[in-house]
Amino acid sequence: MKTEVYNMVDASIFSNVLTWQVAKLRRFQQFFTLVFVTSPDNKESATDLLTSQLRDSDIMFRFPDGQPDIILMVNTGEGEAEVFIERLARTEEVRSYPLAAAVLEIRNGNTSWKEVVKVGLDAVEHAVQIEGHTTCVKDRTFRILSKQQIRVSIIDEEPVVTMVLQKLMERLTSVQLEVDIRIFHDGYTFLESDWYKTAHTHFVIMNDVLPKKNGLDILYALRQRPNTQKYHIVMMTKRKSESEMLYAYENGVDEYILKPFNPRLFEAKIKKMLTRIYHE
Amino acid sequence: MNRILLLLMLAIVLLFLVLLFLFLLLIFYRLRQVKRKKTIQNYIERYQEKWISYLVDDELSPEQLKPANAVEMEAVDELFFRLRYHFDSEELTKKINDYASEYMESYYLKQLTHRNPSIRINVLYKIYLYDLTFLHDAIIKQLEKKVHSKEEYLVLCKIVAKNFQTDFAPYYINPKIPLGEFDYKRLLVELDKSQIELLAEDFDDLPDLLKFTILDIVGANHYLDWLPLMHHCLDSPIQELRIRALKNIALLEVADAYSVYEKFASSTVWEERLMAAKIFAFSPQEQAEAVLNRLITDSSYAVRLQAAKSMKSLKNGQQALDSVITNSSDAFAVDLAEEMLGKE
Repeated sequence: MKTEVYNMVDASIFSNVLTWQVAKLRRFQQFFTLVFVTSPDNKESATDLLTSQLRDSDIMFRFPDGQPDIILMVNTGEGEAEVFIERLARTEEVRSYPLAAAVLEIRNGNTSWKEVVKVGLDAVEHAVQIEGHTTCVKDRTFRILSKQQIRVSIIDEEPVVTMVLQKLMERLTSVQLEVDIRIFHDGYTFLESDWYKTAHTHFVIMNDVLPKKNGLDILYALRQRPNTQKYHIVMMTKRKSESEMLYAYENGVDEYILKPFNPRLFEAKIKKMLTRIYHE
Repeated sequence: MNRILLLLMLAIVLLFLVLLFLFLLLIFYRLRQVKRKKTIQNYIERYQEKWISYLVDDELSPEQLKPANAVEMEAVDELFFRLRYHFDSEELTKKINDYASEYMESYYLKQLTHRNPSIRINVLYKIYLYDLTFLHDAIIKQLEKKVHSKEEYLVLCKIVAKNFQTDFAPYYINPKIPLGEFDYKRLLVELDKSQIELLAEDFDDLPDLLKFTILDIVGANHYLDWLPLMHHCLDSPIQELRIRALKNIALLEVADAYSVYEKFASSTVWEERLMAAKIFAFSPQEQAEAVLNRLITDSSYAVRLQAAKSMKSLKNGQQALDSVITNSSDAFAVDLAEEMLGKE
């Protein structure tokens, strides 16, 4: 039993929190879900019930005057929000009043809080009109990703390698994804450039052995930077030693690829990494 | 006197002219080589994008990249090398094969039969790297020849084993050049399990060094289903084969015929006793303790040490070693047991 409800807050700060959350989404790709819940017959009891069903990481904004309450679920997708609705549905035996909910997964960083509230209220209104004791409407207006821009640095001494990798990476460009690629032939030029000092999601694909500064030097430099999680580092190597592989993983590479490798497999791995960043 | 002086000067001038000629010839060859390299580099820089489009993207047909002359073939070969060194896929191999068989067969054949051994070795390594299967007959023909360097023979064997799964066995079993154990290791480490099985079909008829290497590869790769062959080798009159079999049974770590191994614990050959001590590290406690208690008092230090190590790795290893410290009258065994337990 909860002794203190710390995650129920006043609705007056909702617009600020939502704007902040959308900014975080833009910067760190941290998506979230909003659940609008109302009970036209018994708003007070419904609010108490919601409070008891909240997860510790959720925040509920309590709105006055019969407006739906809004629950913010950070790093949560539509699927997990549905589990919450199922939990609410299981309380039907102990309550006499109906509940109507709208689920909005937010992945688009170019949206405003006013738009979100408008769509959410329309959706919950729609849910109220549906027959049933616990009704739910999912609105996917904001689930579509805004166009993302990622940066890719390909660092290898051999021009044939950089050209093949460039072609593979260019294939990732789509309506949703803009890929900005730059080639480097040694580690020093990369580290001296300002290219990697931006807030973009940044893929660094590099050989372990490079002229001037080698791959490990770049790895240390990138992993010491603030906000290092934006770098997704793929290291390519000819060395098959397990201890070298372990060392590279321990020092922060995300993928360690042994040469010679299949270009299509490489492409698939990068796509998988992108999916993890933008869709999980 | 003057005549001799004149002849001497004439000889000096002649020598100088010969040296000058040789010097100019060297410069000419060097310049030609530099020019050739530059042409190759220019070709690569100019066409590498098109080549990548053909090999990786399927965007061009090979006809559009037909080589115009021998230098362009050399450049294409260099490009193949740079690509295959870093990338590997069935698609890439097939495209390189298709192109090379269509336009560069004579280029590779000429190098394959070149009188300069280093050119032959270089092209063999490339054939191995690119998997040029269309050169099968030429490779077999080269293998049938009597004059080879060992290095050349080994690469030829590796090519046959890599590209033609089953044709390789006769060249491994009856090599045209005497091969050492290290040479066999270089060859066998590239084979897959089915190829090793093919090679070992008539195991007893194989050269001894090949038998030893097969056993070592089986142990290193943990091919557990080869245990019966290992047991078969234990009955061999060849001492080294028995030792290798015991060593690799220990590596498999699933030995099950402990009564068979136990007799090696009493062998007159210390290496066999050593390997038996290794094997008993993986046997049930009661069986192991009796044998290892005996081996820890062995006349050979290596056997005693191994017995102590095996004893330590048993489930109740510490108790077994404590028991040696308390009950054994052999001061060396007590020393080793204490050493294993980290006691002074």
